[in-house]
Amino acid sequence: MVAGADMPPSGAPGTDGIRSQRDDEPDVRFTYANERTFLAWNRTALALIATGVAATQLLPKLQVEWGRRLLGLPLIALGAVVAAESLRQWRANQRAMRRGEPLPRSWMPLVLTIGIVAIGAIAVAIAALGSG
Amino acid sequence: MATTPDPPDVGLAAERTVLAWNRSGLAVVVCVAVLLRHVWPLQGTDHEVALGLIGAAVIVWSLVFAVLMLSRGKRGPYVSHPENVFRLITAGTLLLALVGVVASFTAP
Repeated sequence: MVAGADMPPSGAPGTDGIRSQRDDEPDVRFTYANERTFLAWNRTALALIATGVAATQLLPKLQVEWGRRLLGLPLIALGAVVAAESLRQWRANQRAMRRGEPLPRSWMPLVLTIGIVAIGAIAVAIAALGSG
Repeated sequence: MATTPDPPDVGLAAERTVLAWNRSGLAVVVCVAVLLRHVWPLQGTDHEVALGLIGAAVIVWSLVFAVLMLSRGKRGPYVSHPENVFRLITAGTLLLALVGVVASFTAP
């Protein structure tokens, strides 16, 4: 059996590929996908926060004063930004799917990449200053 | 009036979503454990207490998860969780971040 053979084809009468035939709720698969994306971003936020806390609490004292906080606090802040943004993105996606509009562009991957690169640079600077 | 039967769960979207919720629960447990490490550093003799805490966390998570899934089932398969559920999760994550910031300034 071909997967999706029983599903209404995208663009079929009564559907637009996003909405279900029943009501204004989007197709359940899209709702689930949006939910999983939110959860994945939320886990990323939790991982950043846990790493930040671990950096401030579990690392041995560094030679650079405030070194652990310089490393940990940006990670926690980035985690908080990702968590807040994930809710906004979930809401925007859900709204777009209900209206049958294109999904809004997400800046989160770019913000996350820049943030992690910046924190990596901080770590390198701390290591260089500590060994100097 | 004839009703259209529910489409099959192509791609097992529901199952993957349930697994995603479970992974998120585990991530919360790990984050809380890292924070607790500062408040209450467990020593070698505290293994039973630690195991008890982990067991209690599993029970609490299972109960919350069951309530969440049952409430979704009552509302029908086509309805997402209410927005308040997502708000609550985000608020909880932000609260953990805030506790982490406070903890970083009270580190020994």
